[in-house]
Amino acid sequence: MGKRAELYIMKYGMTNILRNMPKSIALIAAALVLTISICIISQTIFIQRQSLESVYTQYSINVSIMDEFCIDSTNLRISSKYYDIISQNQYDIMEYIKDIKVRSIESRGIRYTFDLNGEEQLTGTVTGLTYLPSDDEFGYSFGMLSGYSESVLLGNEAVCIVPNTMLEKMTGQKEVIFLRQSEFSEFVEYKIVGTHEGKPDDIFCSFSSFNENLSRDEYNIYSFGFLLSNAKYNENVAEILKKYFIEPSISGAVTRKVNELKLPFRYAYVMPKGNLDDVIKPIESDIQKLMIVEPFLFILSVATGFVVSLLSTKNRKAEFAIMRSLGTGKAMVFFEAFFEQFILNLIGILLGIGVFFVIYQSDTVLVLWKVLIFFACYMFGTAISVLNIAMINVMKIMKSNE
Amino acid sequence: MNKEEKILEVNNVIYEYRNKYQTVKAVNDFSFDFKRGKFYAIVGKSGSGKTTLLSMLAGLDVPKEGSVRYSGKDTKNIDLDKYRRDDVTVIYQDFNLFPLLTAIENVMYPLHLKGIRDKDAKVTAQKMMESVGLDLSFHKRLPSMLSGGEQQRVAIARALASEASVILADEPTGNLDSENGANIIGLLKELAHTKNYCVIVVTHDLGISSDADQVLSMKDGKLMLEEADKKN
Repeated sequence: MGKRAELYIMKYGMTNILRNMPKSIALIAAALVLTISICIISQTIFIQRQSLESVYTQYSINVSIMDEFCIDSTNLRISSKYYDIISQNQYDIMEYIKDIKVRSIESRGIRYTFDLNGEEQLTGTVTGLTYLPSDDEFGYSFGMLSGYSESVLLGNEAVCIVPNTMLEKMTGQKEVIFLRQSEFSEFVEYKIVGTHEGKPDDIFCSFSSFNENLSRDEYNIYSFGFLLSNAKYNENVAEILKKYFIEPSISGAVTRKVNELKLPFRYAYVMPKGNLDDVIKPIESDIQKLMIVEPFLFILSVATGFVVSLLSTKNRKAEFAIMRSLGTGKAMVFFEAFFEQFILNLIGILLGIGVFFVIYQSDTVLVLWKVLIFFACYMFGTAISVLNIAMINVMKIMKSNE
Repeated sequence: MNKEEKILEVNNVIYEYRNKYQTVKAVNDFSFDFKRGKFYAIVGKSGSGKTTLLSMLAGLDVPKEGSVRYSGKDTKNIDLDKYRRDDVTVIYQDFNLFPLLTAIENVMYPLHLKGIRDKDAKVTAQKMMESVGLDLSFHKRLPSMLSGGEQQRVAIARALASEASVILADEPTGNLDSENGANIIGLLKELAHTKNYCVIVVTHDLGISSDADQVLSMKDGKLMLEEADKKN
């Protein structure tokens, strides 16, 4: 059969649609109602997911590492290897870990000079930090020099915050200071990025640089914590922390003795979630219910497509038989019946989308994907039904007359 | 074209199917040659295998054994859709017109299947309708607006439009009154004799058989009457 015959079959289908309006309207209405239902469910899932996402981003969780009894978080003496877990981006969720707070103290006589000529040599305390401490933490007032922000402390640059009095005493270049572990080691140049109003021999520098150049002790972390900026990942973060720290529980029991760093399980992690669960559980439950309903709706679409198509073609067996007996091929008969259903379903779906967007004033185009899936399911059901029509046994229909 | 040309040769055709309880031979070793320009009547009781035979002649099925040959070609080896489009056409008892197409659109259907342009198809369909006694006033009527006799005439016009050489009719007068029935049979007979069609009518109606050039009687799928002896 040629192109012209195929076009004619399409025209024949359109004629059937136009001349049997009640049936056409019923089929369009069925598709329309299902489309609106799909749109409403998809939209509701979308809105609920958005609110869940918004809750997650509004809830930040302050994670802290504490001693094994979850009592003290300020004087821990933890291995610096733990810092690497967080700082070296080993896990996918690291982008949600903010404000890493690591503090260390080295007070065993770090020597430093603040004059280029090396004339002023002192012994004092150097603290490694990844953050600018609040005034309450040390009883000092901290300030960054112009052109610097506290974020420099997160890196491994050799930068430091010195006492005000030290800066005032400097006569030559006021931008650098030289620090060394002991009188036997080499001086390392540190850039001055801020000042504090506190003890004249306290110096603060970035933890990474401190750990690398100035600390003589591997167990130099005194406090350790960070902010999880998206509560959605709290379970993932907990999974990671469980590899290294004790999971807080009533029993506090830890089955393994050595963690993934081959260090003893001595410290616990604490993730105070507040009322997060109370807020998200109802939303998650709603989403779950809708997610259960949604696939059924698609299965229902296949069934509806099948039944609607079956009912609408049920009385047309003789018509399809006569088409076959006049030389219309099976494929063309299938195409004709499918084409009619396709056009009617398409109209119903487009109207359904239109009605949904008008009534619900929705600006979510995401529902269109769901509608497309629905359309595919619906047409799949239709195709199964129509396939029976194309495979019709013309002889049987002829025999019914005998 | 030889008026006595064999157009359909049926050779030792057997057609059997299984029902719930047994295998039924609907057509059992049937042989006959149908010729152009002749009007045949196949008679027999219900279940005698008439319609099964007709469906094989119409290319709606193929024999399990034996052969149906159209112009020498076995229907098992040809494109049956094309065969039904171009060579053979069927008229049914209950007319089987497309209910949502007008009378003229029904007649145009086989022409469109052949890929003929709408304009040309319309001219041909008009001629065919005229030839069966349906004037312009019938063209735009839907089948539901026509009487039984008029619907059967449309069905005949549609059969003629396909330009097939063989017209098969399954109880064409079954739903018509005697006057309309006689007219339709007269029309089919005229087509066979004047237009050189091979017309094969399956019927219960013994009245029709008296109009036929040859009557084939079937019983239990077999050709029974003396016409069997007429096989050339």
